[in-house]
Amino acid sequence: MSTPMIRLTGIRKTFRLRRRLMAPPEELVAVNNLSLEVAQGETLGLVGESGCGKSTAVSIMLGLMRPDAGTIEIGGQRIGAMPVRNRVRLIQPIFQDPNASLNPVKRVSTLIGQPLRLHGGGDVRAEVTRMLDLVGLPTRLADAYPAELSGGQRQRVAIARALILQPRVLICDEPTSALDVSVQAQIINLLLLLKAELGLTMVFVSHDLAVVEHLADRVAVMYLGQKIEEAETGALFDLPQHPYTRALLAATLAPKPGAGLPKLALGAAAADPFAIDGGCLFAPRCPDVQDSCRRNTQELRELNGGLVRCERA
Amino acid sequence: MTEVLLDIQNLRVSLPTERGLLNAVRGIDLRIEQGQTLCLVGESGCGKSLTAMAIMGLLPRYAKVTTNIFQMAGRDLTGKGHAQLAQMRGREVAMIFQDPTSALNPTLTVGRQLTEGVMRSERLSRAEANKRATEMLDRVGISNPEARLTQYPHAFSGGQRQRIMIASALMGRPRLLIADEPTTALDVTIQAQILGVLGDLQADLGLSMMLITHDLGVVAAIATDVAVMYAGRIAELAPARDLFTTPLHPYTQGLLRAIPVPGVTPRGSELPAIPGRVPGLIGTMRGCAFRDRCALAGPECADDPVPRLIRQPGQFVECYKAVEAETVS
Repeated sequence: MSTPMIRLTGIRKTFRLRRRLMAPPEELVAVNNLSLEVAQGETLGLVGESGCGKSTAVSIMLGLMRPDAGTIEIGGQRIGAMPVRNRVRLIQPIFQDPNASLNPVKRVSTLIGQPLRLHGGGDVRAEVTRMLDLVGLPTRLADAYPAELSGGQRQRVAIARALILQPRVLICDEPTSALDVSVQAQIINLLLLLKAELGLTMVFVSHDLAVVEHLADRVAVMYLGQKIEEAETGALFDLPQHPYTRALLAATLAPKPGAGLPKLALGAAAADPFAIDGGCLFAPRCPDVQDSCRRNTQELRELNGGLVRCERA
Repeated sequence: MTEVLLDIQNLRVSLPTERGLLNAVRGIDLRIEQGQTLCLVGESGCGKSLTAMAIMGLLPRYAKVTTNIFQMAGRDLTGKGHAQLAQMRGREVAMIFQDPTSALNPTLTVGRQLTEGVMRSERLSRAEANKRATEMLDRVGISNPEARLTQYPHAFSGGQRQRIMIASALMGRPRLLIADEPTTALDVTIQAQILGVLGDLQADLGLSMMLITHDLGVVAAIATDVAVMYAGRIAELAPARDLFTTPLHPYTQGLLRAIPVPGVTPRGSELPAIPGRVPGLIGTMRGCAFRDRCALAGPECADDPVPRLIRQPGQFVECYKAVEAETVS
């Protein structure tokens, strides 16, 4: 097998936080022994609820945060040892909120051209025009300010800026969550087009499972810092093996009439990242929990072509 | 006969801006009967939140609000000012907001925040108010409610805080609950639980609800009726089932097509997106606001007024083409 485009091995990241004002700091494990591989041209969906560590994992992939343990390789090269100027040509991010990620006092052409000006290479003006065309923005918007654009157009600017250095990997952190439904579809279409045209490798982080199902080739589900299931998109949606994945899928409300509300039986408690001891992390909320789940540390194992971290699956 | 809790006709909200008057809500009619859950759906800027704020009397004074008819819980509020609306708030009608974390005061115990309103408005004693707060927390699924009254908001998770907000809205025993994106800030598993709480309350207390959301999945799960808003007007009003099975307005049809549905939409296929963007609302607008993005639009769509096709009480669509299709068939 060829070298994967992205390879995370045994990533661990902890933070020390005080839960109350005067309390002693405690350790919060944001990402726990996470390993991921994404092949060239593949799109990996990374899903999970707030606090599951998906954004921390993204920051580590981008080299914006150093893990406590583990290694990150992009295109076969260790990212820790790589100078920034090399890294930015390999991997680029798109974030959730283009209102926050674009400087409001810079023109669109400046915003898109900035990475090229910083890191050099090529005719900035020509490249900016090419990028505008690639992401479907009319050239006349080159001199506009972000405030003059709609939400969807702003996200297109953010995508153009991410792609101007011709990276091989695009990390999308909730790129459609801040957008309206009618605009969301435009951006999803654009990402599909770019993936096909440029052969981009993508990591697509989202809590919207319908969007992930549409875009991703493979999906990894995280819960409290751990990967609890990973499978081909079709297999994961047809036959989820972890009870948490099943709950997530059931909780996704489809726009179909008469569906009613799912009965999740998860209890009113939420995932508590501090309350981690032995046993399965999902046990406090799991509808199928047994005594042994609370005792035994759950290991990731292969099952039906995917990976799952549940002894009862 | 079922009681009509809210009847508004020709609600208009305008906001002065540097570039002129922004007509955010441009003449909408709403009617909510006992036990109904009306969902107001639409994209950002369509006027759905302003509509709720106008009903609650929570808009700033520079906002210009007019109605032809405004009746709520048996009282005629047409042309009445903030003072009269303030009297209704929390008693006949209560509201919950999107982000429970910013709606709760972090420096006061949950008990204080729940009881403050009723101790003033109904002159309940602390003990009576605490008793009611315990009852309401229990009702929204907070375990061990009595002990938890003495805790501060930080001790609760996001989902629990939204449950507290719902309990707080229930303290005055309202008959109409307005919820503005109550689950948008929450994770999907928590969202399902909170919607379940709202559904149970409705069944148990006969509460009527107006729920504002942009998520058609939420609408499908709990709405009895749906008003689809676009650029300050209701483009289509329909019973929930009809809206999803036979949407009449091209905008509703476009919205429903644009969302990928697992197991239905072919994976990786191009989604039928709605081209273009929402029009600006400054100044007067002629004709149908959606016509620039509508595949069916013809020259007549630029004319006023856009005809309204009334299918049955509680179902209408404002669209030249829908009217045309109806007359042909």
